[in-house]
Amino acid sequence: MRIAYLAAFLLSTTAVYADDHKHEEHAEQGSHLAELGEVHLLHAWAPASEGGDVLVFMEIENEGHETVTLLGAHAHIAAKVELVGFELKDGHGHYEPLPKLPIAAGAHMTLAPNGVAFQLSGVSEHLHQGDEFALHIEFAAGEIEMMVQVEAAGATQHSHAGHNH
Amino acid sequence: MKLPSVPVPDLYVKDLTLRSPEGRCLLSIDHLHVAAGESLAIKGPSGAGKSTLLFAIAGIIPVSSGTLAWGDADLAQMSDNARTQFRRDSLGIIFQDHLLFEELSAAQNSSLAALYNRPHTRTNIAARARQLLHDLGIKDHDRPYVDSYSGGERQRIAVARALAADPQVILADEPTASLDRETADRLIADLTRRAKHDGRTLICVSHDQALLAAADRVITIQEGCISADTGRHRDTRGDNDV
Amino acid sequence: MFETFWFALPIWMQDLLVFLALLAPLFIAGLICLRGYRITPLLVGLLRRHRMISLTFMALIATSVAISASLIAQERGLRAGTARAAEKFDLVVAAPGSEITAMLAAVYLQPSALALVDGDTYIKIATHELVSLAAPLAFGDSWNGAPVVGTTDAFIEHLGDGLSTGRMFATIDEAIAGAAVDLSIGDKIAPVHGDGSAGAVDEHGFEYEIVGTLPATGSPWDKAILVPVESVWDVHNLPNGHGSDWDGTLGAPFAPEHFPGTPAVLVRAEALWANYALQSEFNTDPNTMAFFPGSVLAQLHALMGDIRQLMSVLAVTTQVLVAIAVLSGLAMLSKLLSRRLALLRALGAPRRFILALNWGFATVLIVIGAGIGLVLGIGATAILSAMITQRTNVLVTAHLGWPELHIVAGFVSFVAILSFIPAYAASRRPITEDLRT
Repeated sequence: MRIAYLAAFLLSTTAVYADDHKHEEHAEQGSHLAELGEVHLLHAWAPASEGGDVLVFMEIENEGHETVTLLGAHAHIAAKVELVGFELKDGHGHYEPLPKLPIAAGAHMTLAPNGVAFQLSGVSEHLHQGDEFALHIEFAAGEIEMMVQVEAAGATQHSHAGHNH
Repeated sequence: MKLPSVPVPDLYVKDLTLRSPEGRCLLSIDHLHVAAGESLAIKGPSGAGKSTLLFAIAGIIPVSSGTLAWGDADLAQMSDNARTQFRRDSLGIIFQDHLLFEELSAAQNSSLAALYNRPHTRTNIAARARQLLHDLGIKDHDRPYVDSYSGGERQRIAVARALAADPQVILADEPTASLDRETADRLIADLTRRAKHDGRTLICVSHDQALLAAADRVITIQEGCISADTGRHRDTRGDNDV
Repeated sequence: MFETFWFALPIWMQDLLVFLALLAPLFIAGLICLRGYRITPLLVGLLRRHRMISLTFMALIATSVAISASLIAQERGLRAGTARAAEKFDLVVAAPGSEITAMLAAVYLQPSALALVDGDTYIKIATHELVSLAAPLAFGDSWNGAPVVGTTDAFIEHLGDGLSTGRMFATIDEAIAGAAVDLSIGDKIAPVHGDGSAGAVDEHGFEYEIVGTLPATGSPWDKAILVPVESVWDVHNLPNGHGSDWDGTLGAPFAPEHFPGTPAVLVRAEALWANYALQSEFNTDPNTMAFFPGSVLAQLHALMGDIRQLMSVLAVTTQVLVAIAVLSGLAMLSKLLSRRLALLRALGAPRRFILALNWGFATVLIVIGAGIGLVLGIGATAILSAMITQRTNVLVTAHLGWPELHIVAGFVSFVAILSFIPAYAASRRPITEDLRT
């Protein structure tokens, strides 16, 4: 299983641009950054877990001049991926599916615990701290693959959060 | 109504010594034989070891060396659990100040053995206890506390308790000590009659002349040894050394 | 396999099974220890004879169980109450600063000094295509300790889902009273600057008339008096949000150049995704900070969750300490009982019977004590809830639930197992010495 992750990691160091099919090396930044046009995706992470339901968080920066719309994602390791938003109802918090999420021009969207997240359900593998897995993020304008780093089980943010990429 | 029981065994004591935890000799009995169905009274000055002998015979106090056998069952060789079971199956014990559970009724006190005996014997024990209470003239068996009974009645409840599991042997430690003369005489009559009638062995520690007179045989204990052995049924096999 | 089965069960069934599993050691130990014996008559006798000691021990256990159960339940109730109170506040936009301070001010009406959101920013928020409700929330005044909040009719409609009595304010000297404010329609009030606690009363010389009341919401807003935001600006000698040609119609639209600023803006979009889109947009704007009170609260609750675990550990430790004290007491009591126990042994009762009797006695005290503790806990929880509600105006309705039952079940089993120690010691006492004492 580790080998599969390693292979995925090596492959992913070459970020795929779905919009213009251009390839670019991001060796030193590794998988912390992916770009889709003027949209930057940073610091994708998930807490370590035994599988089942896993939430994935990241930062998305729309540096372009148009609103981009986040639609969802898919991943090999999960049966289903949904874009969800945290909501308090009747005194209890839960994650509600979001059909879409527009990110205005110039806006930064932080997917974080108790906020917006990708909810992976039916994850078949145990995710250990330090593991990585690929997540394909779908925008109205196209799709991009990004590596998600597994952090400690109780983590609240990416271990590189705050770095400038 | 009778519980199934094995024939009453004889008691054989040989070269019995019993020491205190500090090593002091409490009891030293070279020889004692009590035939089945015999009634034996043990007398002697206080502190001589009468009760110690009775408790050793009951298997309550473990003996240090020698033989203390009821028939084939040598208490000296038995574990504590086995002695307890022997006591449960074969002995009925009456104590000096009746030692009843004050918060229980007469019926509950006399059928105490039903609580820890085998479940199938419980009904028999309880029924026997009630019959005994009735025979011994105790009324109102279900009065919730026994402390409203007189001293004599309480000691008779204790007699019923000792007999409820139908033991082959009755042991009594100063059963009349806390009773007035009239009550004591009635208890002695009850006790000896019950023992004789059913062919039980009766061994009493007492200095009550009436009880001593009612016994088949009287031994005297002095400083842990048998100093005298008198009575109608003399032991023929043993030498009654002083 | 087991997991699939387990998660397919309804939650209440899982809780019940956990409860039973926690009690299982008690039942198994009881079965093994009591098998073949009837200890009830002696047990009842012991309890009757030593009723003062028994009652004292049960009371000790009951008190510790009640306190810990109600504290843990309270913490849960407090979380639910604070969350409920925040439910109407989808998205709050304020000037950049501390989210928690802004949340305490906007949702729980705790007095605090917030920087202002200016007119241009407010108009940008109010006219955003995704926004269905934007209402200024202007704090700072009070009447008789009740906060006076300037806002718009739209927010009041949203907060109470309509009024319970009277009508909406129509002029700047009319006000709406929260459900827990001791005012009725027609009453007149003159608010003061500040929360009224500083001593120096600074009256504005402006009077409102109550024209309507809100239904209860279970939040600190029940204690608030809501007034037109224009009047708050007015009494502070600020522009009232409208131009010189204003016809006196309250609320939106406001004119940005006459808008003096507001500490917070409540923003609502119809869909959750839109709320999140708005949050990212207003958060990116350097002039504003946008947050979901629900999310901030969830973070606080996560912190409280850690505190609760600590509290649970402390509660259980306290219970166990009380139980150990009780067991030591029982060990001493069994010395008092030693003559009776020796008598039973002399009569032929097996050691295990003595063990069973002692263990049964301790366990009855523990089980009944814990049971009484749960009942007391229900009462203590209700009282504590009422006290917290009164002090914070956050409606807290705590109930004992499965978590408390689980803790108590675990406690009972643990102590029942522990009580084998003194019971065993009692069964090993020498018969003759005890019989002669």
